[in-house]
Amino acid sequence: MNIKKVLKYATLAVGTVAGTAVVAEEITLNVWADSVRVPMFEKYSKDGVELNITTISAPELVAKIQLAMQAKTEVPDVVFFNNVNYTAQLSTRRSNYILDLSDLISQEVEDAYSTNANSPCEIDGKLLCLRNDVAQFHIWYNAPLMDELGEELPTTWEEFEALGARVAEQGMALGSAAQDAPLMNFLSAGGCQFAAPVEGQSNTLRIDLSTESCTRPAAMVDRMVANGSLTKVGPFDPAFAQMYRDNKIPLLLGPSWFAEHVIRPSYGAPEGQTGAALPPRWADQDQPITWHWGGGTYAGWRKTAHPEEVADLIEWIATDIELQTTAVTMPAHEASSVAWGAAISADPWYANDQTYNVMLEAVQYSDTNYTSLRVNLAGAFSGTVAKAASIGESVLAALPALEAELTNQAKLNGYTVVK
Amino acid sequence: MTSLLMSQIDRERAEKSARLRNIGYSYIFLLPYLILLAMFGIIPISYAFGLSFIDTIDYVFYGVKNYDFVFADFRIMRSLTNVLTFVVFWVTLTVLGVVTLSLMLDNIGKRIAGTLRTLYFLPGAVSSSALVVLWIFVLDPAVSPFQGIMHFFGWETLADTVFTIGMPAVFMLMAFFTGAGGWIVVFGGALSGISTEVVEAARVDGANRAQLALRIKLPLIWRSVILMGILSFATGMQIFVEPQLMSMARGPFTMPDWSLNQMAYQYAFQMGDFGASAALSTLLVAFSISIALVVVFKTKFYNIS
Repeated sequence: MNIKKVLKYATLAVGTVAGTAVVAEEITLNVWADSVRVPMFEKYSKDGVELNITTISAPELVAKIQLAMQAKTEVPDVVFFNNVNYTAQLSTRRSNYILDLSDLISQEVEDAYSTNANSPCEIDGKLLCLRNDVAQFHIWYNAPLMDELGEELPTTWEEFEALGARVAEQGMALGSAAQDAPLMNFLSAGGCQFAAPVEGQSNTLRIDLSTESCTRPAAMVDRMVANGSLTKVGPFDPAFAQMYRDNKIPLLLGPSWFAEHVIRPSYGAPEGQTGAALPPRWADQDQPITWHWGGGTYAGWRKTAHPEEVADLIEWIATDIELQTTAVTMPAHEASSVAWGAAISADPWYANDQTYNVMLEAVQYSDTNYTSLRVNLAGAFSGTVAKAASIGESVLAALPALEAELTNQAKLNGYTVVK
Repeated sequence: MTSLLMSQIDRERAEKSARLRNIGYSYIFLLPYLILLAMFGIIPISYAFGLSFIDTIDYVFYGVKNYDFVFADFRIMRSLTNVLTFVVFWVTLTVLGVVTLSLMLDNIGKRIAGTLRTLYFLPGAVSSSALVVLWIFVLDPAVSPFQGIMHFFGWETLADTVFTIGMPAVFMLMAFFTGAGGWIVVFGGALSGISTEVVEAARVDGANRAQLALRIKLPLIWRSVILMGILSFATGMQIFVEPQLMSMARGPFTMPDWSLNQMAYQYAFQMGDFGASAALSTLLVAFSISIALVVVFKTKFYNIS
């Protein structure tokens, strides 16, 4: 028993004996988060609420929650999810963890999010979590290299492919085709519905990869892999990093965190090199559509003894401007995001001061189908199309296999699948 | 006369009590093992068996619904095929490789053989999780010490290597180099137990080294070979760490449902259905035990003659 507790009981005892003023019971909330989010939680201070924070490594989180619920031991009241799918995974009959925040968090908070930024938390009309950060894809380019090549930034996928064909002759590439999320982005940009929730029908997904909106981008990827303008190694492969350092990657489609967490530390890009541009659209589309690669969320436990306090904590950590200004990834809450972006705009490491503005504009093109699913998209893409691209086989030809895998997974996890 | 009879009865009584005492001692020596077997074998298996008939969400009897769920999962047949292919590859390689190496080691000087056995054993001391990382580098033509061979085959990326030789073969290599060393040491022991008289007699009769190894030594250690086969089979069916950790190589190597044990893990810890997980685990145990029993009885493993 620690001193704090002894003191607390002593105070309670004194209060009871004296029979005077009621001593407010201090509430303790159990919080589980990864090592990055723990310092954020530690800054929370509210009278009468104490946080019992535990660091849990991201890959173990779901397993530990399942075990805690099964063993009926300490279940966390508030958690940080590094994967948007956990919300859906943990709100089923089998593992019913998630607290419905619809009545606990006001509409104004939701409205303060960037367009579509909170869509992974809105499932079947219910608010089940709050998004911490956005991870939209857009173009990251090597400004001096583009100047040297005398090339313009592509605004359409047609231009993107043509640029790829030109630079491939010099052994350059415009990113990788052998990684799940970038492939999802190529398909999503074409309007492909590979796991799209159907409006107004709960637990229903549209999975149809036979449409032109899927085959057109897949065929583009195939042509670009064939001429070498998309690599057969993933962006985390040492060979890819070497190409980047050798100035062989004029640009690539990457998520918002790619500059700060990959290009800067892993590829070691020097000051003044890296710029951002909007994601391309197809010439016949009005505006781009862009996928996300990650973006964490905060959620609460449905059996918590203190739902009000849980909601307050979640709202604070996801939307407190002062706190989010120093976050390591781009906040989903718009006002926080703008405050956070000031540092990006002022950072001389970027090629120009427009980087953040582009990132913010790109968020509004987020694919609304990027949501929380009980389908392992990453696994399905890895095992089919990413594998095909990595060994030089056709992505287009692997689409039926991907559709079968996604459909089977969706049905297994209780979705109705429509074409 | 009476005293003679008495002494005989006494002697019988003494022998009987000595026998009982010996049996009693046997059980006392067996006891620690039996306790551990119960704690980590029998009780968990029985618990899982019971759990597999229960709906672990509302805790009601569920009949065989958990089993139905497992059989209806489209990934089960795929994982089963993966695992069985791996097991066939690996058990074959282990039996052939370990037996060949052991018989050859038995033919050379004791000191060199001892050094080599130690060397073979060393990879087994590395935990399999670290070993997977090591293998990811060994198999990547960009950084592998075997670059030359890989480039000869035209393999440029990790995907080229891994997908050309296939996942079961990759895991077979990983598991063989971890596990073989331990068995080579065991076989060294088995081979040194063969009486020198038998070997000398065969040599006098004109047997050459190959004949000595295959006709004389191998038949004398076949029980160890069977034991290795059974244990390798049981371990192989449970493959988990290798496919799970391949995801560290990112990209197309993420395989959360490659093996049956990964599926059981997913059921329990991703999906939250401990009943379905228990059902799959029970099936896995039942399968391994049945195969072991068939092998044991078909080969008359315990017949001492």
